[in-house]
Amino acid sequence: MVEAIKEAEIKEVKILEKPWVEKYRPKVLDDIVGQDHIVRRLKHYARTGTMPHLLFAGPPGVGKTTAALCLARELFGEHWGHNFLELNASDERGINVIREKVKEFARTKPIGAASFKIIFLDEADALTQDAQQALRRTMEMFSNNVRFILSCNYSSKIIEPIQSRCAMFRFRPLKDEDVAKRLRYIAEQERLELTEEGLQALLYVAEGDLRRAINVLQAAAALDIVITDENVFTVASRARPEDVREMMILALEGNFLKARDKLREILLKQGLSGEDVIIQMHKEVFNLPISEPKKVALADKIGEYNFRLVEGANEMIQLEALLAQFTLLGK
Amino acid sequence: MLPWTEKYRPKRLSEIVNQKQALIKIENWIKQWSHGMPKKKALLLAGPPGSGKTSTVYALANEYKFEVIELNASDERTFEKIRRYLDAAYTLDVFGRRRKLIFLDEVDNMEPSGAYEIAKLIGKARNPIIMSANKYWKVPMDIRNKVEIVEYKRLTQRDIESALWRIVKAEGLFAPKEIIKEIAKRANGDLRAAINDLQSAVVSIEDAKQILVYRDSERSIFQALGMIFGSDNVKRAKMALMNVDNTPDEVLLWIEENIPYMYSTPEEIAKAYDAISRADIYLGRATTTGNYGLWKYAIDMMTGGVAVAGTKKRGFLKFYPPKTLRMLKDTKEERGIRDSIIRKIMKQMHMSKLEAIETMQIFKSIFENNLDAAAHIAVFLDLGDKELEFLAGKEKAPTIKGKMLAIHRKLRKEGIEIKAEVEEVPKIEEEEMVEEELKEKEKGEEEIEEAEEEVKEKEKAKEEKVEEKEKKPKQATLFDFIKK
Repeated sequence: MVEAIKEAEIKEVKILEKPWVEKYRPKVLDDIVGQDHIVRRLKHYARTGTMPHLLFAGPPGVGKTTAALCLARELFGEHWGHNFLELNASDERGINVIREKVKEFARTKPIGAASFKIIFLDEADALTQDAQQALRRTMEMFSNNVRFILSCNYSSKIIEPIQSRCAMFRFRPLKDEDVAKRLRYIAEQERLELTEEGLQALLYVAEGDLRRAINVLQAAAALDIVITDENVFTVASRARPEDVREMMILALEGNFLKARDKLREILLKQGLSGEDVIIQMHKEVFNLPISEPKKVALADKIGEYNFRLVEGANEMIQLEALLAQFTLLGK
Repeated sequence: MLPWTEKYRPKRLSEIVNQKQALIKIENWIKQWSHGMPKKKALLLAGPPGSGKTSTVYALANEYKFEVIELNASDERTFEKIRRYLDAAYTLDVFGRRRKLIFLDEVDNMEPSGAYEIAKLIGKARNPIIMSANKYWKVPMDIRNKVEIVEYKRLTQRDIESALWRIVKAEGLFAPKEIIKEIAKRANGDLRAAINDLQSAVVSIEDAKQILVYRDSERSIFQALGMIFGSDNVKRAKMALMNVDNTPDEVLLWIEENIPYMYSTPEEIAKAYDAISRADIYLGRATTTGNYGLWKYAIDMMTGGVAVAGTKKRGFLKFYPPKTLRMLKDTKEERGIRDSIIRKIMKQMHMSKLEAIETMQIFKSIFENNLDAAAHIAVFLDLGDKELEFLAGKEKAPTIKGKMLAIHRKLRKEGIEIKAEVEEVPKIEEEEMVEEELKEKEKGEEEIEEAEEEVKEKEKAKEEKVEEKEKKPKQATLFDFIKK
């Protein structure tokens, strides 16, 4: 079956070049890098044709989605697309929409020899506690012909009753050597010249996220077949805009109005949510050119306003109020 | 020069625009005063501004020979005046002079203590009393129990247009149709505002558009801002929102916008922002719990809290409308396109939203630098023209588009369907239904047949579209397509 899966893709690839993240996404469990302990257990499910609900936890870009897709392919063969439903908890406008989709999907029996279908719910930790309770009931209701794979960054954000109903899989952050191996393989396939500096730059910006590494590699390759550190950083700086850092520095320097304009641009034009911005602020605050005690004081403020943002009605107002605190502390 | 609102105020009830129901009630009531007293001695005319309440009172007095004593209910001395007039009215009546009709304006703005006294006076009154209010539910209960409520409806744009045209004719003026239409539209049911606008508009047509920019609702919010940022007194600042129609979350945006312009030190700005942050939390809790009683604390924070945050600027204060509202409007299309690209990346490349945003940023760099690679990605994601332009810019988009068509042609030759183009349709004949109920089953199959047909049509339409585009790659618009 594994061979058939690989061959089916070849014909299409010749004409349509997929984005590399998709093109080089492993098609079978054995090709997944750096997660051997997980691959072994998943292959057992594929062989026996049974599995419990699964919970995948781990940082982004380490293979959670890929593992789910590969497992479905190996379990269901050519029918995998019909027996596999991918949902995103943060995008489905509430638990009721998810429930409806689950119900609709579970209404029909699986195709082929399989005795169940799989629902992959990405970003399950984006659901509120109440929504997770509702999800738990949904999982139980359809447990005779649907298995869930829940994916999240932090397993601690998943409520206890769901954790206890799932087999837990902790994905490790990828080691630089794993990422490097994959990047070298792709560079070879694409006839690129991957310089050592270029590779180190890719590892630096990727921070263990293989998806980001491959994305940046493709964009650098669009500039030149020689992958230099310079091109890598040029591309990567676009991917992670410096705007949030700039905004914080403007506020600290006492330029509140300009910082406020920047914030509005980030929220409205770039499409980040208030929570995304606050997470980035927290990441960046320790890299700011300020005294150590101030970093701690600001981190505390960020925490306070993260809390207010969840409680409040308008995230822009809360973030602007946080910027005003920056201006006050920056004085 | 007499304001037109006075010059053209109706002399007779029949000239009042489109309030027949209300007028019948009122005439019946006033006729009862000719032979004694009606059960309710006071009327409450309730309705939006400029719907004809005041005009009714004067036309009524004119037709039925009353003298109108107009008093403002929010004036503190009103109670004393009413009592004096009520006493006097009775005595004067004996001498055969015209009877007095007491007209009390804006009773929805009255202090509750005054309301109680006035309610008592109504009981003793021997003269007709008419009150008016915009929102009858804001009128104190003591008064509401003593009056008969007559509702005035909001005038339609057409009502206002025809009223304006009558004035234009009477003045012997020329006015372009669009201006009249626009004035009537912006008036939002307020004939008085419309007539005022008309009078200023005909002074100079160029000024007309300028004058129309801020109509009533915004005017009152500027006044409210003046009270909040101009006062150290919490009670006074809290009064600021009494005449404002906007919801608290809208008002909050107006206050927020102006904080950094009104306060200058970081301490003051942070303090004022902390207050509106607290206000926003109360608003959030009110929404999630459904307990709108929390709004009053939000209002305390956004008015009083902001007012005491720092020293006041002196002199003329200039306020700005919230930039965010305009930004939201201006960026609406762009955000729509961007979100649609993000959704396509999420779906086709199995990503969460944050990952998809990052990927889109990286793709932008590819779309600007390598048009071949861009074309492949665009076909893979099934990007539309606008989405392509968003990523590649106007200049490069047509070239990429051409390359996309070539890829599509090759794919069709090989008989390969692109996943993104055809929505997956479950093959129903291979599936056994889990639910045995026959009805359910029939319904399900019908739906799926419909869905299949829809997909076929879509495919057909797409092919036609592509052919059309191949002939003239740049100009194939939806319009061409429809004509065909």
